[in-house]
Amino acid sequence: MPALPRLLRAPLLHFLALGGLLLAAGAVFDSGSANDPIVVTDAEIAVLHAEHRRFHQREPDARETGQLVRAWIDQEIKVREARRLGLADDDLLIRRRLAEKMEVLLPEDREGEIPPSDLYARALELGLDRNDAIVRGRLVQRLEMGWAREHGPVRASEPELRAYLEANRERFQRPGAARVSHVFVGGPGVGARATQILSELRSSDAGTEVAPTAGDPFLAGHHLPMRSERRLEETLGTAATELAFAAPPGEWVGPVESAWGAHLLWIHERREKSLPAVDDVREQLLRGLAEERRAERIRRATIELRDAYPVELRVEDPLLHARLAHLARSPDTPTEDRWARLETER
Amino acid sequence: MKTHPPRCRPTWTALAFLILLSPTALLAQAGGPNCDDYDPHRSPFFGDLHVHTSFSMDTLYFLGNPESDPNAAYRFAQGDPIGFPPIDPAGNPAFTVQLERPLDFAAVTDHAEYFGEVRICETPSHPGYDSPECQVFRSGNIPAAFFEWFFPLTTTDPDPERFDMCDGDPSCLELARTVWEETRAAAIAADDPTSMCEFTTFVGYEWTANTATSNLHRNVIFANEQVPELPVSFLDAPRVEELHDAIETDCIEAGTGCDALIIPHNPNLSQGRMFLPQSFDGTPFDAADAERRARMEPLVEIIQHKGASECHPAFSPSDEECAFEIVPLTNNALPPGADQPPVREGSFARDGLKFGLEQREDLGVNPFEFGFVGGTDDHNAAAGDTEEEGFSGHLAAIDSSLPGRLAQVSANPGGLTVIWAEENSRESLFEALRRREVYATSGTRPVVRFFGGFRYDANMCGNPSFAARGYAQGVPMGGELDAPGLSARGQAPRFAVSALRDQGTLARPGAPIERIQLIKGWVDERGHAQEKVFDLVVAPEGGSDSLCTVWSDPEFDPDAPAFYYARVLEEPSPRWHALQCDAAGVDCSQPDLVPDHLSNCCAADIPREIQERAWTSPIWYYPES
Repeated sequence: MPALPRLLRAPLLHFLALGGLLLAAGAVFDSGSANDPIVVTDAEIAVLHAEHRRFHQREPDARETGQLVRAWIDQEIKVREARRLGLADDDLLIRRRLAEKMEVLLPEDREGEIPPSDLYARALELGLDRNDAIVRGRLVQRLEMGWAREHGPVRASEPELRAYLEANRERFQRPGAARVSHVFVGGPGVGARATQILSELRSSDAGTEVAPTAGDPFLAGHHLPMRSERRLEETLGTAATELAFAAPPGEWVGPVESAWGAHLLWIHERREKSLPAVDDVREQLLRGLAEERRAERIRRATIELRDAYPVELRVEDPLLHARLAHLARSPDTPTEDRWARLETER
Repeated sequence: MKTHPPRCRPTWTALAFLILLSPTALLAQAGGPNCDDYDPHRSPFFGDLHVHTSFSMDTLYFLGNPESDPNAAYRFAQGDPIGFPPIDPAGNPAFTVQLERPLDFAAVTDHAEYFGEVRICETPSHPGYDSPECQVFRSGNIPAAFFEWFFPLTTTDPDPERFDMCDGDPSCLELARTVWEETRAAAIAADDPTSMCEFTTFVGYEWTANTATSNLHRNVIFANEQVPELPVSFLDAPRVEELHDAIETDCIEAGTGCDALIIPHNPNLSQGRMFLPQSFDGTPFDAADAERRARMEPLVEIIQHKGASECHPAFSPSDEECAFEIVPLTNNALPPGADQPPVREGSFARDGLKFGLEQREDLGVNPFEFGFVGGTDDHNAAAGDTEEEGFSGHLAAIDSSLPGRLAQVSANPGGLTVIWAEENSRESLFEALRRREVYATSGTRPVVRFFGGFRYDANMCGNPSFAARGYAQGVPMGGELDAPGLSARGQAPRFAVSALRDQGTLARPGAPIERIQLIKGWVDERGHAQEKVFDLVVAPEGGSDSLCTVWSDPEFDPDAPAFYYARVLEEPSPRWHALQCDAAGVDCSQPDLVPDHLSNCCAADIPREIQERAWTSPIWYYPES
């Protein structure tokens, strides 16, 4: 669609204009759906709600409704576009599927007599492809495959790989690690005992060689090897791990509690979390980038396509109507801010 | 000539030497061969060795998420969310699930039988795409798909046929090669190559034999990336002996560095056939058969979605804990609601262990000398998804909704495998699996040590070097007791068990330990296997954060071969169905008001509370040694 002056882009005006055009042209066009607007009524919303209820055992909230409607509209848009591009015409799956459906309608004595191509044509005439989930899914799939196709192996520059690594730090991060020794105190009165032991250790300037005997036995031992944050949590619990990464090394610190008792820690060495070099994870970066680009191509193509297929809303509730109207025109699902603003605008 | 499974004697000697040599040997660990956190006294690693993804035919005909492939499974195991079915026409999952605590290791084990067939049914350009089997596959008619695809796996035909579509171009086996390569690639990509060793994968698959409707399924776990070109499925090798032959020829003896072990599961559904000491044609085992069985199958999965297989109340009437998560199913090839045949002895791990001792009396070799592992058998690529409250099912769209789960209310979220190994590397973990230094849990993460020996101190629990002594003066779980030695002759062996409760998470703390039990099996003078359960230590009211005890066998007979394994019980906690039914507002005191599809919330024979538990691998005692 060409860029229009701001007023003319207002959704309501847009809808009315198109609606009017269609009313006028109603006599000229067939009942072919390609040029009709996509209509969202309370009936469609009720169906989406019912499906959601069936699987989640509860009604969707307003934001979820918006997402459901958005997804439904997007699918309808892609189905229409795929048809427009003729993707339905040469598709073996769709032809067979519709021929099968027609066979069901045939009187038994005529089974097998009519060639599949005729059955297919007849099925199209009857519009059996309109709401068939398999046909629709297939059309969307073929359209997206066409958009997503990348020719040749994935190529990315060093800056692109570095940027992807940065953007996905959490996934690639090498966790921090620490090597600690600890004194463990189990059983009743742990807090007091641990504090007492701590002052004794400090006043006697004891090193970690006393760890096994200063307190109680501990299943994992008292001198642990270099462990990642996660593994340390498994061994000593969350509080001890937090302390291991916050306290100064080379002295007795604590006490902290775990599921099993109290601990005094001595941190020997610590390695902060770090990002690996691009070379270490090149394969995974390339794979991730390829996936990201594929999804982005589909996303952009979907957004562009939305302009070509107008949406008409006929929804009773004015707030829901406003939300959906906004959705129908915005490139992405509204953020929390926008929802909140719509609420206050009510 | 007496044969034993491989022993690691040199390692124990080296360990003892290391400990005696320097008290600071434990400090300043510079890391081991592969990992920074190498610990010669071993630490526990948690994982799941039984996971199905969209590469398995039943994941798909149960309307699972087609995007939940092996890569997704390994990401889930490390903490990423995954989409659960049903998938709407736009391709969106119904909801997502995420682990609260990642796993240390995992193996994807898809059904090898139909790798190629599934691919054909997904490829519209293939001539087989519209075959009747593929149409049924995609139809969404689950009973029809089950009958079309699962039933062929019950054949007794020595040369099973594949579907006609398999002869197309490319053939099923050619496509299976591609699927297998993708499986292997996913395992390679997810395995942590750095010295942080955060996550380990194993290449694997499931050999799905349901011969004559008996569940004889086994998972094949490979030691490394050197795997055969094709996994040997039931359709290629319908007899266990043939599977063993193929693994030996294509892997273990192939000279490529390949190694593998085999883990049977669901003996509870085998109608007594899992632990029969005979070949399919009825020939009893000879010593060579027994030795091979023990060597190739050193582990059994005794807890998973389709029930617990430790023991059964019918055959162990004095052990009330045998009723834990027993499913009222004996034949998984029957349609739901059909009458089930009665349970048969030989369908539970304890039976197998006992038969194994008896066999050793006859053959000189114990064919059923196996340790215990736990798994999920999940079909959503959700490895390690064992949490009760959030349990979202393990059979794709069949049980991703509460009514669907309640239709199989006796099923459970599955268990975990815990491996005691020096580091989280494939070599270290696989060796531990081989020597059976593993235990199974019913889904939680208590930490359990189990040692046996003739020279332990009665007050070993008070010793800070508990584990070091355990290794130096005896054997860990999965091992065989050393000879008592002259000084200890006539004395009974001592067993030391130490358990730490699962700390859980902030949102869901773990339950304290309630008791430690020991199960002993032995062969009496008449050559019949017996069993007995001992309560070693019971925690005070409310349970303990940790329990430790050293126990000496009061009924020890030095001439009787025996096995001993520890069972650690947690304090009771709510079962998944009680939690989810309560959340859905079901009130069983008013049964008339409970909707039909939730009526199993009130099933009288399913307890609302369970005691989660750990089962250690056994330690064996043989008189001549």
